[in-house]
Amino acid sequence: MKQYDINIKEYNLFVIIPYIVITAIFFIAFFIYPKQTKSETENRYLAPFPEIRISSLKDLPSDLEKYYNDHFPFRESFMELFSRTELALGKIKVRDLYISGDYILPIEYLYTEKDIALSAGKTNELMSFIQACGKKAAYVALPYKTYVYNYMLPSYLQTDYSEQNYINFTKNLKPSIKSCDAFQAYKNDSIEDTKTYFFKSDFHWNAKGAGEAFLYMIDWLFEEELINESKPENLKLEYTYIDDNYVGDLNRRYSFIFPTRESIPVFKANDSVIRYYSSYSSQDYSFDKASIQGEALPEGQTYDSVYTKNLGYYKMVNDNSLLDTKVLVIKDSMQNPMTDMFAYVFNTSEIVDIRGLKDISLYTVIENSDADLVLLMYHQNNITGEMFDFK
Amino acid sequence: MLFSSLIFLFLFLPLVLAGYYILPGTRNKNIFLFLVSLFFYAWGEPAYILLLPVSIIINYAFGLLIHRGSTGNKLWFIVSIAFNVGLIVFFKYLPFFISNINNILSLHIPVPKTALPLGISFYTFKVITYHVDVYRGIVPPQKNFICHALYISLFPQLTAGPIVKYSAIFKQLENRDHSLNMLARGITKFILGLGKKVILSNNLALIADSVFNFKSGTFGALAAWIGLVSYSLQIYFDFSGYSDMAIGLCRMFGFEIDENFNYPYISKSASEFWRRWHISLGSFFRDYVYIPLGGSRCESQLANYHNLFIVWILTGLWHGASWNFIIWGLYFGFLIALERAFLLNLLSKLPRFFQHCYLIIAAMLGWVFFRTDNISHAILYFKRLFGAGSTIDLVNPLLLLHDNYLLLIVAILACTPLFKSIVLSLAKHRFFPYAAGFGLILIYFISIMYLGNTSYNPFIYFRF
Repeated sequence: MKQYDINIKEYNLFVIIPYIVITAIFFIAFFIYPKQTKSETENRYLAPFPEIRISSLKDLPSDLEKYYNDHFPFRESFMELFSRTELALGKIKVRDLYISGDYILPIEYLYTEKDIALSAGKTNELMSFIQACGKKAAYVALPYKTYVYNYMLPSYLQTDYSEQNYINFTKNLKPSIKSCDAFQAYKNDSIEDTKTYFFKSDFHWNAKGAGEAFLYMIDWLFEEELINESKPENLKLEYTYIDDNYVGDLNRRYSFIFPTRESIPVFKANDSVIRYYSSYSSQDYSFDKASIQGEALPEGQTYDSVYTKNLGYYKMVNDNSLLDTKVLVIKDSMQNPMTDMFAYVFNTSEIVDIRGLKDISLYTVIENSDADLVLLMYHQNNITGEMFDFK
Repeated sequence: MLFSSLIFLFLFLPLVLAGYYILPGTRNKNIFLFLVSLFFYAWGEPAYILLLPVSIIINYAFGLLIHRGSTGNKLWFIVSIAFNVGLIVFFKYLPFFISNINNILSLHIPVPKTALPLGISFYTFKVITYHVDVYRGIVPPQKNFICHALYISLFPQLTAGPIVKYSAIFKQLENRDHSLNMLARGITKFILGLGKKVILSNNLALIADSVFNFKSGTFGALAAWIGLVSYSLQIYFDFSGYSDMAIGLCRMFGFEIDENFNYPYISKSASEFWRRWHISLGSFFRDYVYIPLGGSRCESQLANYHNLFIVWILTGLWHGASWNFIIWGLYFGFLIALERAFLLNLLSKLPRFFQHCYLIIAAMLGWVFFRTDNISHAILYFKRLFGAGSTIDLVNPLLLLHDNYLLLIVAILACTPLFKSIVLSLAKHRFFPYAAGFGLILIYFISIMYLGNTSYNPFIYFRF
């Protein structure tokens, strides 16, 4: 036989056999591979097997495809392999996030004037209502991770969008509404210090970063005379550190391939006996903060388990607080590490997250509250969308 | 069901291949393949599930009525063409025509809301080639219903071509090659096509979309050119990749069909480009529209150019019912007319490099009409390309280049015969079968990785 004939025969075998083997493996594996109900990487439930009904027959092919795709064998492994490949190729933007070393940074977006005006209008309405209820009100803008770590990105990716968004938002607020730029809290801190303020693989900051902004905010509240008491002298926050793995929510997107060992600072008020009320209608309280915290994962701590969950409403009462002032905070998840800080400083702290508020409206909560001061406390890029659907 | 979907690759195709090769005899294989093709069509087109079988039956009857020697065959031929063209006009162009009539004449004729049935542009053109060739006596009418039905419905070409002429395939309907070599060549072509589509085209689409989807035009010239280069590469690998998969699938079932793309971006003129790009469509319009009109052999130059522009308007319209596609078609018609008039002569005096540059830029600029949604979007994009920039650049072109330079380099090289030349030069080496097999499986595996990731859909709560 000619060399060429041998090569053709060998070529045929080396193409056909591996193709059949690989295809057969995936074909069989789909039927025998155990089906998951949830994807941990995507934090969502996977498509169930579609119901076969005459009325929805025309949707059946697309529903079956979704089911097949969601339950494709080794899917989670392929997602991890994809993440590893993208990172190995040296990309900066992977899965809609920026990567800088072992820091994962969310992208900054510049919001349109139209969207900002809409949410500012709703904020004006809310603030007017608060003031009409005889309470003082203020807007507090917390730092956005990428705003703080802008220097970690190449120069062509560094933007001032976060600051622009804040400026555009506050210029649409009524002049009577006071705004605190708590994202300026770190301006005198060194880069080495600021690197310890946010979790590397999470969207959020830790208690140390939150604490700096909290102290900045307290100073500002006194400067703006929103608190009618004497300012505590030398207010400082001390932290303890949890020695455990930390499972960052952004790490989840990359199938947890980033290192999970991170410094986990927490603030615990000394000599304080805080009563935690874990829902709006609850008369019962607990002295254990676990009643408003999430559970750690087998892989390690999470933002919820270290600080608090995003409950619709909870309240803290501390008879040993530094101030007698009562505060109500309308917040997003960035407030969570500050929970005990609020309890340490304020006599009563009501914490409201409108995403979790059920069976009662925010306006009713405000009306019924005996808070002296109401703070709208969102991170500086949280200025549009459903978080402003206050009614 | 896309060829590049997981359910097709690992559920449908293995079952079809197994069933096909288990069944004895071409007749049984044909029946099986026809039924599978109907299922394939029904999967993708549940709303018009009866359209294909009805079209098959009616066109089968037409085929028998229009062959030479049958009474009134010319009338039946006209009716068959009118029926098939009428189908496309009704589903694809009627809403467009009525909307334009309403706009021009300020009327309020109700615009029908007809969805476009899957593959109608492809299988009706196949049927037209059959009828014309039967009418001309080039091929006998297909009396075997299954063979006729299989020709029209063969699933590898059903939804996205190539437009295979009946005369090129009719003998294979009853007698074809099921050798291991044919199967291996089919798998090779299929996997290469899959790689082009999934690894190259889908990733290039992400770059192109990141620019083109900014319809407000908030990007500068560099971003505009990156978007356009990426789209030019995307559409080539998307279409040629899908064609390669179709050709590969046909080979797996014993059918040998012609190539549909021949490295179009190495052309030196628009005329050459259209001999290399979507070859089956170009040859359809040449053989069944241009030449019957007289082609370039009319007595007057004006008639020649008239025929050229008819073909290019139809080519544009075939791609879609919108002014963008008509302008795109006319753009190429105009270029080719210029080339015939004097431009080719002029270009031939230039070094080859400049001829290639001319074609690449001309083709890319044409793609602006193809990709943009409407004329105003196209105009805005052209402005950005030529420096009438936005004051804000929300697309980060340097990031696009940083993260995708390797993809762009590989894609640009893959537009040329370079990789093919390297492979062919290694073909006689002893290790070639192992290396080629390994390379193909690597492409297959990487494609699976990308496909396994396409359903990635995280619930993003953390923004708040």
